[in-house]
Amino acid sequence: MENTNFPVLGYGLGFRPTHFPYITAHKPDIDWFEIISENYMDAGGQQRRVLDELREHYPIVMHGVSLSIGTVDPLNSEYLQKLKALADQVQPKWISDHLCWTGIAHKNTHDLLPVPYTEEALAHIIERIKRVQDALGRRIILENPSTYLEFTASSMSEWEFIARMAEGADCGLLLDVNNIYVSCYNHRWDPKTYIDALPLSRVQQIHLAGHSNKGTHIVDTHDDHVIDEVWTMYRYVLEKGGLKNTMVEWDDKIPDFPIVMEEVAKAKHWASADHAPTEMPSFQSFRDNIRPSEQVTPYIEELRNVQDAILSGLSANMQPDLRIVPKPDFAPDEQIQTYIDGYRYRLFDIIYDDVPALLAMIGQDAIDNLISAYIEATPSTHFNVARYIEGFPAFARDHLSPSAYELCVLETALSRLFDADETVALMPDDMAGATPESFMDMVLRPRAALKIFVFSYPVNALYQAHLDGLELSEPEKQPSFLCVYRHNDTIWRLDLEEREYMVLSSLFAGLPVGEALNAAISGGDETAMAYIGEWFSKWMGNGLLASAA
Amino acid sequence: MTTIIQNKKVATMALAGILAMGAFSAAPAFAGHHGANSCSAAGCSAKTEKSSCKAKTSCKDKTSCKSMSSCKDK
Repeated sequence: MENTNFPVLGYGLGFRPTHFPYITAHKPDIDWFEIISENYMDAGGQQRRVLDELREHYPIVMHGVSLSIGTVDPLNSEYLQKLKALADQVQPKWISDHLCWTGIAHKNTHDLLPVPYTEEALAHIIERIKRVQDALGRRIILENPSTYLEFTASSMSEWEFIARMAEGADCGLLLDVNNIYVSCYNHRWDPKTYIDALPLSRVQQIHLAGHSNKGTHIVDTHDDHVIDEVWTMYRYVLEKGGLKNTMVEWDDKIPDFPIVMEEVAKAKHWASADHAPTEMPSFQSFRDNIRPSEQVTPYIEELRNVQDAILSGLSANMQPDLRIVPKPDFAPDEQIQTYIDGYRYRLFDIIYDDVPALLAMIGQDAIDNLISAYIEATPSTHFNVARYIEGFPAFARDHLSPSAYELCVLETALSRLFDADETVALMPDDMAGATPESFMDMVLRPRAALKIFVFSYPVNALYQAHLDGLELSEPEKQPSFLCVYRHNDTIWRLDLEEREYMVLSSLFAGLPVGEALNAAISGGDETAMAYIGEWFSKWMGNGLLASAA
Repeated sequence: MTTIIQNKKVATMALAGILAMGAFSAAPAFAGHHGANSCSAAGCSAKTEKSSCKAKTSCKDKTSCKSMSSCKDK
């Protein structure tokens, strides 16, 4: 197997697109960047181009969130193929993901869900890691999770599970020191006991991040500075295990790049400082860390119970008092509720952010109710959560006026154009040497990030009215024709005439130019001929057509 | 025969249109975008950035926390 020994890279950062202009301009002194694999596996265009430029200057490692190593579903072959394809292109120094599961029965909660630490789960996950490593042709590294609930079914500690998993699967470990702090706080474990039990020789990378302390529990928000107690734990890990590839994550409320770089500087400082900033944290244990299982519950049943609670929004569905270890001030139903809320808010925002004009047209209460109803009725199934909105217009149709529905269709299309593949626009030089005869036999392709629409209402005008800050009202019925597409990294809207739309739809259906034009001028429509040259000129100038190259 | 002649005439006009390449006339889809310059290849447009963050934040770090409060207020 390749990559048996992972390279020593030094100090890195989680790459966030908002920092790209700064990175391009300043070429900061950072040893490597970690990318989120899923942001590039199912997306083309600007994101991939940015990644290509980044990797020209920095080593890259890939960090995934959707491998779902703990699920009982078969390995997701589409996911693995896309992951491997990305790895073949990016040539990362290593590939990582998490000890977690994201869903079963082909549902996806888009969360890093905890597994019960049982012998059955351990054997299952070890076997899957081996198969993933075989499929990728390289050793992977797995990260310890932040968790908000602990199963009563667990028969061993998290640290014992991770240690045995790494040895059994012969995989590497990504030690997220902040996650250790978060989980130890939430479950009242002892961080030193946790770290001491790990095979640190298998730790190839360390994550550091900030979090949000809610009092009763901590949420791993990655939206703040690393706290001193985590620096102390980081330093303790290095004392025991030697220097490790270390990286800072900052994923929300992202500050300017120099602020994040200061966290990296702190990591370097604490790695060599002669004293720790604090005492080693310790959370009062109210019980033994290992709670022998009082009943044996099949692994699949534990996962099904958790997912049922999350998808239904009903914590009682999983019998939390029976299945979750109670914590002082953090009851079992509150623990599972953390995941239930996260699922709904996450999917809500995915849609809400992408339909501002619809919101303006139908109002806050209506949009809230509509999105909530969609989430209740429609579990997400694809690892790319950006795809979740694709089914929204069809669901919303029965709840919206015809014009509002068409506005919803337009906004959904605009959202999805970002992830479409990149294609180069056809240029006049590409047509050099073409004759009218050869041109008639050509097939002109649309840009990949392009859709054409026929609407019953003036939807583009409605959308523009929203951009102009005007109050939206029900428009008069009036057919309209529209092309939306991505060109030079911006999404554009181009009004079309009806006959123009007809020619374009024939061309984009794959008809040769001659046949498409013949359809447009059938019946001796001489007036159309007058516009043909103008239309092609307009399509070329706006970059609608793709180069064959 | 008439159709072929007519098609050749139309194709000539269409090809001339392609070679003439007209002006850019589309409208941006998001407020704050003013053509390609506003986001270029730099990944700086808010829309693009949000899109690229989706997979990460939604799964990785409980963006829900930030989003939770913003949604609860909605």
